[in-house]
Amino acid sequence: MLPDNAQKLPKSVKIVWLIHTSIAFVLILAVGLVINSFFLNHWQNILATIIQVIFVLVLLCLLAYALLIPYYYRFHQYVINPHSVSIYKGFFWRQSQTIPLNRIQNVDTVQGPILNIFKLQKLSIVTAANAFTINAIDEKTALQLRDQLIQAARQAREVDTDD
Amino acid sequence: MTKEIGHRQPKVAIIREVLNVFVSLIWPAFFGILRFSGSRVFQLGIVVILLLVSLAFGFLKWYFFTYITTEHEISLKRGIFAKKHVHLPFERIQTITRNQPIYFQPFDVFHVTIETSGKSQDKIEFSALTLPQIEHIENLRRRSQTKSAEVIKTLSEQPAIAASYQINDRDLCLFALTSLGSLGTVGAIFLIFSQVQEFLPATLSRQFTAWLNQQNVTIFIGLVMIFIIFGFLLSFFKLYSQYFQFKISRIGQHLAITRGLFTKQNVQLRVSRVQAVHFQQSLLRRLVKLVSVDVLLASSVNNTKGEVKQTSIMPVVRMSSAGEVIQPFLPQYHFINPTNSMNANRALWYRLNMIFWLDIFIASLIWITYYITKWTIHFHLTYDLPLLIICTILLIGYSLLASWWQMMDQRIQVDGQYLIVQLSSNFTKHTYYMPREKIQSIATSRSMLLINKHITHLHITVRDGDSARRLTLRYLQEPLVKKINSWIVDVK
Repeated sequence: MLPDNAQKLPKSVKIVWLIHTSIAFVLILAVGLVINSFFLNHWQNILATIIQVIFVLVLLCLLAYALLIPYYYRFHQYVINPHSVSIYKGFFWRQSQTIPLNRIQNVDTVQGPILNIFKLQKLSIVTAANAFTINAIDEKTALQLRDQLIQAARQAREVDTDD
Repeated sequence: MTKEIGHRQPKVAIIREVLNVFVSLIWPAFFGILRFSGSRVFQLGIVVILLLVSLAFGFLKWYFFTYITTEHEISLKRGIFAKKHVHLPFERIQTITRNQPIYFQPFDVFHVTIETSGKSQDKIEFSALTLPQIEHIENLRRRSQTKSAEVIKTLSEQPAIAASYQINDRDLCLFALTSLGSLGTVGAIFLIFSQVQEFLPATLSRQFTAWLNQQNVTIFIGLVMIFIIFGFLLSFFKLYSQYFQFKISRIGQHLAITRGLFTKQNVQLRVSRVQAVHFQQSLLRRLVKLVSVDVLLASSVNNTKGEVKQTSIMPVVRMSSAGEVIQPFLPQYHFINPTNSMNANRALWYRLNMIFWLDIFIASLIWITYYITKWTIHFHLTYDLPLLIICTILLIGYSLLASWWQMMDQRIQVDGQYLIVQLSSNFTKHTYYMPREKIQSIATSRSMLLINKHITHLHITVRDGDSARRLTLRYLQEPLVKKINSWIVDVK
């Protein structure tokens, strides 16, 4: 269950995800059509059939992903507590990741061209071992969050007695 | 303002630099010369040129490598064409490792590697340093990593050895005998053998193949047996020489580990830099009730070059006395056997059920792929149906047994400021003792079907070398996982 204080991503992120999926769909469709034209006279070839099936399956998966975007959006949330930050993801396969604030090494923001159009940023939280991302949040909130996390991590480190 | 003059490594370092350059050049040339054989004079000429180039580059690499130590950091300059300056604060050092290959022993110098907690090969290497030079660096590192109260104490008194342990010959033989590395060695010999055969002169290669073709089955079996025995002996000797006279000692909060017959190795590290203590028991060691212990460190070493990330602190010890033996070296830890499984009701059933259907899926893919191949390219394997049935039974049997073992071994327990996790993978039992502040993150995952049953999988991440080690416990009770989650994030 998602906690009550969990925050959703901005609604425009649904359009960003849809654009990303559409670009992937068009690219794979184009590659598929080129390969299909190559095998046009070789339909009896088993390799051609396997490639066709793989392409169709990939395209169907992308289509399913596009249809499920409202559900992914519903379940992709984050919480910033006084001692930790938690990220929740997934609909069929539910995942949660919790990073104690005093383990955070640095907080990075990334903005690609599509995120830039919608004034969104991707927030990457890095520990000594691995990195976690909040997929897209608006620029103002990203900067606020980054400062908040760095400040909280610094305070948590001061409390930490490890050398 | 006067310019600081850096120290150079002892001149014997040139030998190692020359060897490194020569080895990197000679192999491609060696195979090239043999493959496309020219005249003997031409071949000798190439070798002489390579030797001269290696000498020149080796000398220049040594000449342009200088280092300076201050109270707080070590900085070095290196590079012939592209200059690189590295500044390394002593505070950031994780381990200092010195190796003494056999050809360095007459000169009493060591090859030194200094690892930091940084990533992407953020480490510095000295080709050769004398013992006083190394001890100077180690003292500066120790002073810098010791808290002010400890400094006053250690300045007034000589540091004493708080605990020490040296492996005996019997235990070392047991360790080498119970290591399954021999199988890997056999594989490695086979790989080298096949590569060498490929690069052998064509006439020699043809003669060897012709000889092999003339032999009968008994000879083949004999050859394979000799191969395996040779691999096993080689592996035994390799491990024996690597861990020869293994000794660990603790001085204050610092550990020193020495080992090696031909190449002598010494590792220095601070206890607080340990990310987790790891007990490992392969199936063979479980049968003879032995365990090996290593520590996970936050270092810049990755295993792309086959380097071992873990630092062994006890190659082999009796399971019943492992805690007592390790305790003096890591006094903050309590090496208790975890007893709390936290597994949900019917966890074993859920796991076996999932693995069974996964196996069926994999087996179906194998069967379908085989029959499609058979029908399309008319490929036929003798006794294909019995072989496929045996493979399927082996796959299902092995994975179900390994999963059953995994669920039976799975334990998790909080002990004061430490988390103890016990897992098993392919019948090898792993027990991790992790200080709370070293756990980097915690994650949970579950399918929709497990939500109403209040069951979840738990993933704990700790730093291991240059990357992360993810420990996964499956089908745990959700309320208990929540408790562990809040224990980890709770700031002291």
